[in-house]
Amino acid sequence: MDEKKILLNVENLKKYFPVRAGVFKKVVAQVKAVDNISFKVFEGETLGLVGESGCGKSTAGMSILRLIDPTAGRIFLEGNDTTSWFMSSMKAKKYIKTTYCDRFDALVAKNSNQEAIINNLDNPVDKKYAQIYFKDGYAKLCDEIMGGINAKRKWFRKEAQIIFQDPYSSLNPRMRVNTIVGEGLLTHNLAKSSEINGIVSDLLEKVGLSKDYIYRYPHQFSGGQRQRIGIARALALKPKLIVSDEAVSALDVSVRSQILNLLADLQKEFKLTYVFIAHDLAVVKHISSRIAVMYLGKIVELTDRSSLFDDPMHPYSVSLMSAIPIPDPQVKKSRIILKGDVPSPLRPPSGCRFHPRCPIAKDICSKEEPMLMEIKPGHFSACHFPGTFRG
Amino acid sequence: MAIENKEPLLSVKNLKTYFKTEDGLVKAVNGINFNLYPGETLAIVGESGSGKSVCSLSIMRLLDQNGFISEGEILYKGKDIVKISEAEMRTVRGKEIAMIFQEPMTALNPVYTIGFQIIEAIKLHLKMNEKDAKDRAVDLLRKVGIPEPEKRVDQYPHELSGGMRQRAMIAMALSCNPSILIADEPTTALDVTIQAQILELMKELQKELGMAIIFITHDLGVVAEMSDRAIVMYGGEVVERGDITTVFKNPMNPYTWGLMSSIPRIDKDVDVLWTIPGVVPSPLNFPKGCKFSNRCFLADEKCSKENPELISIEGEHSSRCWHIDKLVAEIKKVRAGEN
Ligand SMILES: Nc1ncnc2c1ncn2[C@@H]1O[C@H](COP(=O)(O)OP(=O)(O)OP(=O)(O)O)[C@@H](O)[C@H]1O
Ligand SMILES: Nc1ncnc2c1ncn2[C@@H]1O[C@H](COP(=O)(O)OP(=O)(O)O)[C@@H](O)[C@H]1O
Ligand code: SF4
Ligand code: SF4
Ligand SMILES: [Mg+2]
Ligand SMILES: [Mg+2]
Repeated sequence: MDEKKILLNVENLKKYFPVRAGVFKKVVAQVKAVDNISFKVFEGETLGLVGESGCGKSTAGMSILRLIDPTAGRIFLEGNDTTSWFMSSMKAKKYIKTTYCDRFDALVAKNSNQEAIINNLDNPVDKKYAQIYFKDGYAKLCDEIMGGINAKRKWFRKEAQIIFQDPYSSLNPRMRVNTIVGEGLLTHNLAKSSEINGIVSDLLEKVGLSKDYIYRYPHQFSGGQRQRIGIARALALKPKLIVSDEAVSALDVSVRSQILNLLADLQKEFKLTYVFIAHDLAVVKHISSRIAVMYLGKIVELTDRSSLFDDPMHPYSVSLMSAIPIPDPQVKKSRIILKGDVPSPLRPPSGCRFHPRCPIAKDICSKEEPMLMEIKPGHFSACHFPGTFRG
Repeated sequence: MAIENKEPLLSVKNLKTYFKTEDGLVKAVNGINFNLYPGETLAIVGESGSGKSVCSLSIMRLLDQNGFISEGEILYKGKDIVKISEAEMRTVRGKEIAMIFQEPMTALNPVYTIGFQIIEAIKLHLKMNEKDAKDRAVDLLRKVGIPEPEKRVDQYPHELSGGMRQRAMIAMALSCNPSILIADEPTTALDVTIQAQILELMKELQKELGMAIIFITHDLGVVAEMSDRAIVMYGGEVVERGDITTVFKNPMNPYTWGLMSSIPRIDKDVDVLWTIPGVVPSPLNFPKGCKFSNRCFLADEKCSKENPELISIEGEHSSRCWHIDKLVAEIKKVRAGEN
């Protein structure tokens, strides 16, 4: 068995956005932007999250970092269940009760042997919490999960950072670079204010900017330079996890390759773990060790980079790869042209969400939703007929 | 037939398009030359700000108020359309030379139905009556792959998806059988599976209708897939020009080479990407001499003093660089290392 350490574990994550209408702003529907996705990210690796516009990549990234509130699911960072950390205390208690206590009680009702129950649980966090719950009860478990909540939140905010597509809108235009990059160090008491300029200068050099820039404002930089400032800010707190949301998508080709190389260098130097969100499959392939392909709020395929490209299992992955033009006029690809548009996540198709566009859809596809299954070791696909369509 | 022996449909000669701005005169397009031949697809490639869009807007004579063509000729079927009156230009624009944009809403008016806009264009240029024009509009929408065209013809642009709007704009551009279609980043805002549909559609329509296409894009994959010939622009100048296979397989300009080596590819793995240092300078801040000299790995003193001319290497294939021989040697070394 591989002994890779799991840094981030996302379990059954859902994010629904209510759609309101009428005078009373009644909720008339739900946009299922992210609908039950699960994946693990190992320490030091890059997990690519790829898919077309609106498939839920950013929503997934923002939910994981709790920049928006997830609708359901669990998010573990370094073996801590962080799900309830950003909830109100009432919601958190309810979460603990339904996620843990009720579940454990149900198990006890079926099988009164507590020890056996604990042994049968897969997730070490579940084991630990079951132990506490059986021994000391609900109040103690709440204490375990929610005690010292401010320190926990702070730890999370330090360890998990984000880099955005448009560095301009995410950098405060009225702040100088030393404040933008150094702010977090002060709030987290990681440096004294007298040390900030020195630390920021070092960080700027790390990301390939002159340290003379510490007093400049964001508008005095080009897009690529602003992206470097965004990276320096994310690095300042020495995080473990960086979620990068289309971080290179707005950049010109020549600058994009500079930033991609920089991200790779920094990953090696600081043992960073990346979740790299992008719609450009060539970029994702270049930087990722494993890749999750999303379609309409679901993960349809998840595997390591070479299996995805050499042995794709899902018809959507196959079509997506085939649609990418190759910069070589002598390579004449026979291309799969999918019919129709991406459906709205407001009214996702029944069964397999890809069935109206799938080249090999059968009767069952519109009736039963295929689950994400491990087809080969480490290779997951959500299709009733995995591996049968190769273009 | 060798391209040199053909009669060009459009001939751009020493075109200079400038903009008056508060900071000074922006020389967005600074002396470019190229020919477009009947039925071919010519790509204009370059990073943002290199002058691709200004070049196409100059041909359409749709420049902003502060922009003007300061020098040069644009010969369409032998006639210099820089010099003709605006009234005469209106009979060329849309009818002879049509254009599609990255953002369809720049071409489609949100307050009119798709059909109304196509019908107006047809009535204006083709002197058809309302009924015939409407039939033609429905036919066109069907031809560009819009489902239920009889229904869609009465819909407003916002009622269509991004891909369908792009199709509607193509239908409008093709409504008068233009002999030239200028496509400025027509698929850049689209998802790849939708992009594949639109590229396929454009190829089919070209085969059927025979128009020449000027395809503007920064995506080298799209260029390789769509075009017969390409011109590469940097800082408002053409730095390389040639047939598509030559430009990709045998680039003779350090910028072209750098651009091609910088892109991650799905058909190849590299550990570290090639990079071009620095950024594209603002148009008011290009270095003296060769405009690429502050970023070029081969630049020497001569490069920062004198701007090289675009010279022919072999037939159509031309490059603007003092040190083509050095580049060729470098590329040979890199390629030897790859194998
Ligand atoms: N605040 C919101 N309210 C309602 N719907 C939303 C909201 N944010 C996102 N959505 C919807 O959720 C779905 C997923 O959006 P998301 O931004 O995650 O897509 P994405 O995969 O990041 O797309 P892109 O490639 O365009 O960035 C879309 O249908 C979007 O319209
Ligand atoms: N209306 C305008 N006023 C001033 N400068 C302009 C205007 N339009 C374009 N430019 C400048 O001209 C140069 C070329 O622009 P453009 O042709 O749009 O580039 P691209 O190759 O990205 O299409 C850029 O430096 C741009 O800033
Ligand atoms: S489940 Fe059916 S419709 Fe969905 S991808 Fe597989 S074959 Fe296609
Ligand atoms: S002329 Fe000099 S600076 Fe310009 S591209 Fe050639 S080698 Fe580079
Ligand atoms: Mg997004
Ligand atoms: Mg442009």
